Amino acid sequence: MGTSGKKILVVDDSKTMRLLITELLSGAGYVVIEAVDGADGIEKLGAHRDTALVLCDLNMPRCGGLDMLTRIRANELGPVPVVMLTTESHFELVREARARGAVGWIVKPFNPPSLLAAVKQVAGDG
Amino acid sequence: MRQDDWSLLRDMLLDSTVATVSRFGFQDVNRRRVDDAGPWPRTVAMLGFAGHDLSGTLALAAPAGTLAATHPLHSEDSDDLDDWLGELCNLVLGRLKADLIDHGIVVEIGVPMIVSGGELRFRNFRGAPFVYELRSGERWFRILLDATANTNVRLAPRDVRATVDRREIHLF
Repeated sequence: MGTSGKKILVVDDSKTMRLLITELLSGAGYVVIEAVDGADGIEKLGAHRDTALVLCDLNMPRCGGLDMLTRIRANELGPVPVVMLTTESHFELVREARARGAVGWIVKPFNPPSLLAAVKQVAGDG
Repeated sequence: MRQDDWSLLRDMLLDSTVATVSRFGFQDVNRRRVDDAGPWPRTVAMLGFAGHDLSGTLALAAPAGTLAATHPLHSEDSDDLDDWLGELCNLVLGRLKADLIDHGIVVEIGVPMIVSGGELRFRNFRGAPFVYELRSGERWFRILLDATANTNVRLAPRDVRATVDRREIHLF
Protein backbone atom coordinates (compact mmCIF):
# COMPACT_ATOMS: atom_id res chain seq x y z
CA MET A 1 0.00 0.00 0.00
CA GLY A 2 1.29 3.46 -0.92
CA THR A 3 1.31 4.84 2.58
CA SER A 4 0.96 1.51 4.35
CA GLY A 5 -2.84 1.86 4.56
CA LYS A 6 -2.67 3.76 7.82
CA LYS A 7 -5.89 5.11 9.27
CA ILE A 8 -6.45 8.86 9.44
CA LEU A 9 -9.41 10.24 11.42
CA VAL A 10 -10.83 13.45 9.92
CA VAL A 11 -13.04 15.43 12.32
CA ASP A 12 -14.91 18.33 10.75
CA ASP A 13 -18.52 19.48 10.82
CA SER A 14 -18.30 20.47 7.15
CA LYS A 15 -19.08 17.58 4.82
CA THR A 16 -17.29 19.43 2.03
CA MET A 17 -14.06 19.59 4.03
CA ARG A 18 -14.32 15.94 5.06
CA LEU A 19 -14.85 14.81 1.47
CA LEU A 20 -12.07 17.03 0.18
CA ILE A 21 -9.58 15.66 2.71
CA THR A 22 -10.82 12.09 2.23
CA GLU A 23 -10.30 12.32 -1.52
CA LEU A 24 -6.79 13.69 -1.02
CA LEU A 25 -5.70 11.13 1.58
CA SER A 26 -7.44 8.13 0.03
CA GLY A 27 -5.66 8.89 -3.21
CA ALA A 28 -2.38 8.63 -1.31
CA GLY A 29 -3.28 5.20 0.10
CA TYR A 30 -4.58 6.16 3.55
CA VAL A 31 -7.77 4.75 5.03
CA VAL A 32 -9.89 7.71 6.13
CA ILE A 33 -12.40 7.60 8.98
CA GLU A 34 -14.78 10.58 9.17
CA ALA A 35 -16.37 12.20 12.21
CA VAL A 36 -18.79 15.13 12.26
CA ASP A 37 -17.70 16.68 15.56
CA GLY A 38 -15.48 16.08 18.58
CA ALA A 39 -17.91 13.74 20.33
CA ASP A 40 -18.22 11.62 17.19
CA GLY A 41 -14.44 11.79 16.85
CA ILE A 42 -13.90 10.35 20.34
CA GLU A 43 -16.31 7.55 19.54
CA LYS A 44 -14.63 6.75 16.21
CA LEU A 45 -11.19 6.89 17.80
CA GLY A 46 -12.34 4.38 20.42
CA ALA A 47 -13.49 2.07 17.63
CA HIS A 48 -10.28 2.53 15.64
CA ARG A 49 -7.47 2.36 18.19
CA ASP A 50 -4.94 1.85 15.41
CA THR A 51 -5.54 5.37 14.03
CA ALA A 52 -2.22 6.89 12.96
CA LEU A 53 -3.27 10.54 12.96
CA VAL A 54 -6.23 12.79 13.72
CA LEU A 55 -6.97 15.88 11.63
CA CYS A 56 -9.34 17.99 13.69
CA ASP A 57 -11.33 21.18 13.12
CA LEU A 58 -11.61 23.64 16.00
CA ASN A 59 -15.07 25.22 15.97
CA MET A 60 -17.72 22.49 15.85
CA PRO A 61 -21.12 21.91 17.45
CA ARG A 62 -21.45 19.67 20.55
CA CYS A 63 -17.71 19.18 21.09
CA GLY A 64 -15.04 21.40 19.56
CA GLY A 65 -11.46 20.54 18.69
CA LEU A 66 -9.82 21.72 21.92
CA ASP A 67 -12.32 19.80 24.03
CA MET A 68 -11.73 16.74 21.87
CA LEU A 69 -7.98 17.04 22.43
CA THR A 70 -8.49 17.13 26.18
CA ARG A 71 -10.85 14.17 26.08
CA ILE A 72 -8.44 12.13 23.95
CA ARG A 73 -5.71 12.53 26.54
CA ALA A 74 -8.07 12.12 29.51
CA ASN A 75 -9.72 9.00 28.08
CA GLU A 76 -6.32 7.39 27.43
CA LEU A 77 -7.11 6.80 23.79
CA GLY A 78 -3.42 6.50 23.15
CA PRO A 79 -0.70 8.87 22.05
CA VAL A 80 -2.29 9.42 18.65
CA PRO A 81 -0.95 12.63 17.08
CA VAL A 82 -3.54 15.33 16.51
CA VAL A 83 -3.14 18.12 13.94
CA MET A 84 -5.59 21.00 14.08
CA LEU A 85 -7.07 22.04 10.71
CA THR A 86 -9.04 25.25 11.15
CA THR A 87 -9.82 28.74 9.91
CA GLU A 88 -8.43 30.08 13.20
CA SER A 89 -4.91 31.50 13.39
CA HIS A 90 -4.66 33.26 16.76
CA PHE A 91 -1.37 32.52 18.54
CA GLU A 92 -3.24 32.04 21.82
CA LEU A 93 -5.35 29.24 20.34
CA VAL A 94 -2.28 27.64 18.76
CA ARG A 95 -0.49 27.73 22.11
CA GLU A 96 -3.57 26.31 23.85
CA ALA A 97 -3.84 23.44 21.37
CA ARG A 98 -0.14 22.68 21.71
CA ALA A 99 -0.45 22.70 25.50
CA ARG A 100 -3.29 20.18 25.21
CA GLY A 101 -1.17 17.88 23.06
CA ALA A 102 -1.68 18.90 19.43
CA VAL A 103 1.35 18.30 17.21
CA GLY A 104 0.46 20.68 14.40
CA TRP A 105 -1.70 23.55 13.18
CA ILE A 106 -2.88 24.12 9.63
CA VAL A 107 -4.99 27.11 8.59
CA LYS A 108 -7.83 26.60 6.07
CA PRO A 109 -8.17 26.87 3.17
CA PHE A 110 -5.24 24.48 2.85
CA ASN A 111 -2.94 23.73 -0.04
CA PRO A 112 -3.56 20.02 -0.83
CA PRO A 113 0.08 19.02 -1.54
CA SER A 114 1.22 20.78 1.65
CA LEU A 115 -1.46 19.06 3.70
CA LEU A 116 -0.52 15.67 2.28
CA ALA A 117 3.16 16.31 2.99
CA ALA A 118 2.34 17.23 6.59
CA VAL A 119 0.19 14.13 7.04
CA LYS A 120 2.98 11.92 5.67
CA GLN A 121 5.49 13.55 7.98
CA VAL A 122 3.39 13.19 11.11
CA ALA A 123 2.22 9.67 10.20
CA GLY A 124 5.81 8.59 9.66
CA ASP A 125 5.53 8.21 5.91
CA GLY A 126 7.50 11.32 4.99
CA MET B 1 -15.68 53.01 16.71
CA ARG B 2 -15.08 55.96 14.39
CA GLN B 3 -16.28 56.14 10.81
CA ASP B 4 -12.82 55.57 9.36
CA ASP B 5 -12.52 52.39 11.43
CA TRP B 6 -15.87 51.15 10.13
CA SER B 7 -14.60 51.86 6.61
CA LEU B 8 -11.45 49.89 7.35
CA LEU B 9 -13.54 47.02 8.74
CA ARG B 10 -15.64 47.05 5.56
CA ASP B 11 -12.50 46.93 3.41
CA MET B 12 -11.07 44.11 5.51
CA LEU B 13 -14.31 42.16 5.09
CA LEU B 14 -14.36 42.63 1.33
CA ASP B 15 -10.67 41.75 1.00
CA SER B 16 -11.18 38.65 3.13
CA THR B 17 -14.16 37.58 1.02
CA VAL B 18 -12.42 38.16 -2.30
CA ALA B 19 -9.25 36.39 -1.11
CA THR B 20 -11.32 33.41 0.04
CA VAL B 21 -13.56 32.94 -2.99
CA SER B 22 -10.69 33.56 -5.42
CA ARG B 23 -9.04 30.40 -4.02
CA PHE B 24 -11.95 28.50 -5.55
CA GLY B 25 -11.92 29.92 -9.05
CA PHE B 26 -14.01 33.05 -8.47
CA GLN B 27 -11.68 35.54 -10.18
CA ASP B 28 -11.78 39.09 -11.58
CA VAL B 29 -14.21 40.21 -8.91
CA ASN B 30 -16.19 43.44 -9.10
CA ARG B 31 -17.54 44.66 -5.78
CA ARG B 32 -20.44 47.06 -5.29
CA ARG B 33 -22.60 48.17 -2.41
CA VAL B 34 -26.22 47.01 -2.68
CA ASP B 35 -29.51 47.59 -0.93
CA ASP B 36 -29.97 45.32 2.11
CA ALA B 37 -33.72 45.09 1.64
CA GLY B 38 -33.49 41.96 -0.47
CA PRO B 39 -34.89 39.63 -1.38
CA TRP B 40 -31.86 37.40 -0.87
CA PRO B 41 -31.05 34.11 -2.60
CA ARG B 42 -32.93 31.06 -1.30
CA THR B 43 -30.09 29.95 0.96
CA VAL B 44 -28.08 32.13 3.32
CA ALA B 45 -25.25 31.14 5.68
CA MET B 46 -25.11 33.09 8.93
CA LEU B 47 -22.27 33.10 11.41
CA GLY B 48 -22.07 35.05 14.66
CA PHE B 49 -19.00 36.48 16.31
CA ALA B 50 -18.53 38.16 19.66
CA GLY B 51 -15.82 39.87 21.61
CA HIS B 52 -15.28 42.59 24.19
CA ASP B 53 -14.90 45.31 21.56
CA LEU B 54 -16.85 44.06 18.56
CA SER B 55 -19.67 41.64 17.91
CA GLY B 56 -22.14 40.89 15.17
CA THR B 57 -23.24 38.55 12.41
CA LEU B 58 -21.88 37.75 8.99
CA ALA B 59 -24.28 36.55 6.29
CA LEU B 60 -23.18 35.11 2.96
CA ALA B 61 -25.39 34.03 0.09
CA ALA B 62 -25.03 32.98 -3.52
CA PRO B 63 -27.18 31.31 -6.16
CA ALA B 64 -26.70 27.58 -6.67
CA GLY B 65 -24.79 28.12 -9.92
CA THR B 66 -22.12 30.17 -8.14
CA LEU B 67 -21.79 27.64 -5.34
CA ALA B 68 -21.53 24.73 -7.78
CA ALA B 69 -18.90 26.57 -9.81
CA THR B 70 -16.73 27.16 -6.72
CA HIS B 71 -17.37 23.85 -4.93
CA PRO B 72 -14.00 22.11 -4.52
CA LEU B 73 -15.43 18.76 -5.60
CA HIS B 74 -17.75 20.27 -8.24
CA SER B 75 -20.86 18.94 -6.53
CA GLU B 76 -24.28 20.17 -7.63
CA ASP B 77 -26.18 18.43 -4.83
CA SER B 78 -28.23 20.99 -2.88
CA ASP B 79 -27.18 19.67 0.56
CA ASP B 80 -23.54 19.79 -0.52
CA LEU B 81 -23.97 23.36 -1.75
CA ASP B 82 -25.59 24.40 1.54
CA ASP B 83 -22.67 22.89 3.43
CA TRP B 84 -20.21 24.60 1.11
CA LEU B 85 -21.89 27.98 1.66
CA GLY B 86 -21.54 27.51 5.42
CA GLU B 87 -17.88 26.58 5.06
CA LEU B 88 -17.21 29.58 2.83
CA CYS B 89 -18.81 31.82 5.47
CA ASN B 90 -16.55 30.19 8.04
CA LEU B 91 -13.46 30.72 5.87
CA VAL B 92 -14.31 34.39 5.25
CA LEU B 93 -14.91 35.14 8.92
CA GLY B 94 -11.83 33.16 9.98
CA ARG B 95 -9.70 35.29 7.70
CA LEU B 96 -11.39 38.49 8.88
CA LYS B 97 -10.88 37.42 12.48
CA ALA B 98 -7.14 37.03 11.86
CA ASP B 99 -7.00 40.54 10.38
CA LEU B 100 -8.94 41.89 13.35
CA ILE B 101 -6.56 40.22 15.79
CA ASP B 102 -3.62 41.84 14.02
CA HIS B 103 -5.47 45.15 14.48
CA GLY B 104 -5.94 44.61 18.20
CA ILE B 105 -9.48 43.20 18.28
CA VAL B 106 -10.21 39.65 19.38
CA VAL B 107 -13.54 37.96 18.67
CA GLU B 108 -14.78 34.42 19.05
CA ILE B 109 -16.53 32.73 16.14
CA GLY B 110 -19.57 30.45 16.35
CA VAL B 111 -20.59 27.72 13.92
CA PRO B 112 -22.42 28.53 10.67
CA MET B 113 -26.19 28.27 10.43
CA ILE B 114 -27.91 27.75 7.10
CA VAL B 115 -31.27 29.43 6.48
CA SER B 116 -33.40 28.52 3.45
CA GLY B 117 -36.63 30.03 2.20
CA GLY B 118 -38.31 32.19 -0.39
CA GLU B 119 -38.20 35.99 -0.41
CA LEU B 120 -35.64 36.10 2.43
CA ARG B 121 -35.12 39.54 3.96
CA PHE B 122 -33.17 40.80 6.96
CA ARG B 123 -34.75 42.98 9.63
CA ASN B 124 -33.85 44.58 12.98
CA PHE B 125 -30.16 45.18 12.49
CA ARG B 126 -27.97 45.81 15.53
CA GLY B 127 -25.89 48.38 13.69
CA ALA B 128 -25.65 49.87 10.21
CA PRO B 129 -24.89 46.81 8.06
CA PHE B 130 -22.52 46.65 5.12
CA VAL B 131 -24.11 44.78 2.22
CA TYR B 132 -22.02 44.10 -0.86
CA GLU B 133 -22.31 42.08 -4.01
CA LEU B 134 -19.21 40.45 -5.46
CA ARG B 135 -19.64 39.65 -9.11
CA SER B 136 -17.54 37.66 -11.55
CA GLY B 137 -19.27 37.47 -14.93
CA GLU B 138 -22.67 35.87 -14.37
CA ARG B 139 -21.69 34.51 -10.94
CA TRP B 140 -22.17 36.48 -7.74
CA PHE B 141 -22.01 36.40 -3.95
CA ARG B 142 -23.82 38.73 -1.58
CA ILE B 143 -22.35 39.46 1.84
CA LEU B 144 -23.71 41.31 4.85
CA LEU B 145 -21.94 42.30 8.03
CA ASP B 146 -24.03 43.66 10.88
CA ALA B 147 -21.92 44.63 13.87
CA THR B 148 -21.73 46.84 16.93
CA ALA B 149 -18.55 48.10 18.56
CA ASN B 150 -17.47 49.89 21.69
CA THR B 151 -17.37 53.61 21.12
CA ASN B 152 -13.69 54.01 22.00
CA VAL B 153 -12.26 51.00 20.18
CA ARG B 154 -9.82 51.70 17.32
CA LEU B 155 -8.61 49.43 14.54
CA ALA B 156 -4.86 49.91 14.66
CA PRO B 157 -2.22 47.52 13.29
CA ARG B 158 -0.28 45.80 16.07
CA ASP B 159 3.49 46.15 16.13
CA VAL B 160 3.88 42.39 16.52
CA ARG B 161 1.68 39.85 14.74
CA ALA B 162 -0.61 37.81 16.96
CA THR B 163 -1.55 35.23 14.33
CA VAL B 164 0.31 32.44 12.60
CA ASP B 165 1.13 32.66 8.89
CA ARG B 166 -1.91 31.09 7.20
CA ARG B 167 0.17 29.95 4.22
CA GLU B 168 2.42 27.69 6.27
CA ILE B 169 2.03 24.29 7.86
CA HIS B 170 2.98 24.51 11.53
CA LEU B 171 4.26 21.24 12.99
CA PHE B 172 5.46 21.41 16.61
